[in-house]
Amino acid sequence: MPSTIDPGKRFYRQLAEHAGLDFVTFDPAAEGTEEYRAINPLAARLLSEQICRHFTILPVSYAGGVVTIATASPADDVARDVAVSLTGRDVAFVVAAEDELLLAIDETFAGWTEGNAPDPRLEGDPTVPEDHDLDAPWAPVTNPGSPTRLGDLLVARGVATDEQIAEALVEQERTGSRLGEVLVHNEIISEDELVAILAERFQLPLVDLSEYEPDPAALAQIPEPLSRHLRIVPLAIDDTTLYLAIGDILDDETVSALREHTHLELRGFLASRNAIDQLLQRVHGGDYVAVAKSLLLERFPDECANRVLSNGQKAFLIAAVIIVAVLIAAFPIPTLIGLIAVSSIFYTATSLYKFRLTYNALGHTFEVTITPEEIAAMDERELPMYTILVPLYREASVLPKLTKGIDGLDYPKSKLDVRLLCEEDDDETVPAIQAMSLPPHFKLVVVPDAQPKTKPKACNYGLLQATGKYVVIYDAEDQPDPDQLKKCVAAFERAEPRVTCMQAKLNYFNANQNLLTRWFTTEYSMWFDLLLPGLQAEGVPIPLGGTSNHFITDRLIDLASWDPFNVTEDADLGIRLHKAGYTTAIVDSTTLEEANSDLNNWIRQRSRWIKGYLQTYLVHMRHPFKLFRQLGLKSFISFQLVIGGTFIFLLNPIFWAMTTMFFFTQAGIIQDIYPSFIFYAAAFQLFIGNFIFMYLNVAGSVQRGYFDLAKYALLSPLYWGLMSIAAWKGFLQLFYAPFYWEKTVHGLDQPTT
Amino acid sequence: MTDPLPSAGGHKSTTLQDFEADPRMWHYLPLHEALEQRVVPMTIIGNRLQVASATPDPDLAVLHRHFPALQIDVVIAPANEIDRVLAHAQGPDA
Repeated sequence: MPSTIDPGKRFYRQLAEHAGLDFVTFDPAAEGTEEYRAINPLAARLLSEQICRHFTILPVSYAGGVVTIATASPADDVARDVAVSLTGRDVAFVVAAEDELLLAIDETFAGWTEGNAPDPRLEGDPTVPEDHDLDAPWAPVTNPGSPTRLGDLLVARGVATDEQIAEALVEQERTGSRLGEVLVHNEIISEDELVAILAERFQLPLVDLSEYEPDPAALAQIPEPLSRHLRIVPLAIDDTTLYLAIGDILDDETVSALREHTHLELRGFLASRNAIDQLLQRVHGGDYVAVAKSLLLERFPDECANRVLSNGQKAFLIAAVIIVAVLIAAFPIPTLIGLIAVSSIFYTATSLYKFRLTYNALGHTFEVTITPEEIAAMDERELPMYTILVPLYREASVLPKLTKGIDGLDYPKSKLDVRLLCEEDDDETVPAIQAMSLPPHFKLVVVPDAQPKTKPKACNYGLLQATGKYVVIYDAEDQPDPDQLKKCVAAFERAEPRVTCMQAKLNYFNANQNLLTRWFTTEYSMWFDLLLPGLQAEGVPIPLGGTSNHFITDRLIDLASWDPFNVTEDADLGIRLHKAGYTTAIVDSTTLEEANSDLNNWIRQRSRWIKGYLQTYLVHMRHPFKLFRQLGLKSFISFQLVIGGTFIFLLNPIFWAMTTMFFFTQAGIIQDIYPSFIFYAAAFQLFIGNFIFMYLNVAGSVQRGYFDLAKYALLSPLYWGLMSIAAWKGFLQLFYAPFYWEKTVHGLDQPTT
Repeated sequence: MTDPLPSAGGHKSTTLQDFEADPRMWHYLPLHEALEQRVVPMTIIGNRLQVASATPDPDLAVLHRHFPALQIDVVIAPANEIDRVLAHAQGPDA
């Protein structure tokens, strides 16, 4: 009986059409047609020869994270499941004629059977763990006798046991990470071992990059940003070929684009991702540091604190000083009355505004709250890569605590990208990190020596190689809540689209060390538990805290990241973020830091903070009318009172001095410059204002649950005295060392031995 | 193959006595699915796939899932003839 089916390719073309799939042919005669598909030999090896023959399937390309597999049987669900499982990637099917497919399988695997041969060392069957009960049934997950998958190869080569692979597969199922990454991050195998096995699996040569000096002519072939993005380094070049170090198999689109760009054939050499990162840093460190220094300056020069005052501000201040001097000379008492009146109004407005913000926050939950049930319900496979930047300088002693804290985070290690940012001249921390043999999610980043030597410049440098969808900064001594990253992922998903930063609350783990740490803790409790949530509720700019601010990486880069010349780059970024139309939310998660327990150290730190706030104020007030238009009235006033309110710390000693002088001398001039209406306003400020600030600190302590610290908040006026000392130090430094970073010494909570 | 004839139940029926399956038809319905459902894909003409089945309502979900636009015509065939075709398709070792 004759068949009613059309002969040749028509049948398969029709089959593809019925299945809604593309039809492809490998026939060289069809080259140039839409149906022609060249087979990528690396993609083909994502499946073993046995699997390809058994199911008559063949991976033909790998692009955009998707493996395209040719099949003659698009309805074969078993083949589909096997392909998805064994490639470990997303799979798309295309239809090819069966005879062509068989021929392609023959040609692809011709001469490539060596790697599949059973390993003679397997006679003792190392897949069974040594401690396994011999009477109990054992069902291995790997097949080292016919090593087609990564797990098989690792067991066959004696690098891992079947039991370890089984555990890693469970974690892979839970987190969605790649098996190799899970094994490396759990320290079952080293990154070098993984790369060696992958090289064997994909039949690629290995390269040791530790001493390698790439040929400049090769480097010039691929722009640095593209190299960084693709994690490749051009190593050498000849007339026809560009030799590349690669950290992963490149997909077809990338290979095509690179070939088109370079007009050269490409040959890949596998290396570990960390080795490639290190080489990129070594080769392009100079470029990176230039970008880290100048990104903001080049893109938004008016937003950069590289100069303290603009020409307009200089002219304004000189004119103001001259006018005030002339007025004082001509009309001393009325002028001084006017200055005191303006100061008192500013004081009162700042006090009342902060009182209003914190009063509103009391008893309300403005921050984003994520419940433990929501955390438990999160699918770890959906979690994105998360970059953690940790700037360090001469802090080797805190490294064990730091790594322990980060390892304690409830987040898949294979999805962490932890960058330890060290300065080139830090001969204490860099060797200490190198000696620690940290797992590969910790990456040492050595920032080349260049001015300004600031934390934001180091962070910008680290951000250049960040791979996370989100990025957070932690200080060396930070102890974030273990679920903080998950909370932020959930909070970003829930937040309105403009939210670009999640600020976690900061508090101290050594609150009770001494009086200074108690004061510091009451202040922080007020700031992070009441004031910042209050600002968030008002929808006004939030000056970010120094650590634990979580950003959407792309948007942070879009904002030109941190200002390397601003010594409170975080507060400045909070303002810039608001100006760009984005917002910050406070997330209900806390990072515990070390409260400064040493007075000199505290003054160094606080003088830097106040200097930075003054820098931030001056930068954004270069064009006050433009700022007003950008922020709107409410946010503009808030900026004046919260950031501009820093000037109060400079004024405090002057008023305290006058009050003291009047108390002891009853000097007539002081009576003259305090006429009754000014006197009552100043007295109101003295009693009510001081009460408000004490109340705020008490309320902050109570809100946080630190009831025992509330009494220390009553001594806050003494703390303000210290703040004014720091404020004047920071203010004066603004003139002679504006970018100097007063480094805070950490680890003072530990008793010295 | 004889032309399908109307049957009393509304389904057409056929005989597979002289039928030789085109091996390419198993690309529409994999053999292991055909064995499970005791069906044989017979012909594809345009957008119509004719499937011989021993029962009037075989589970052809796999066909509907992978070929949603395909019109599937079920014709009834004697079970022993279907088994013969399937056994032949499996080969001598089956």
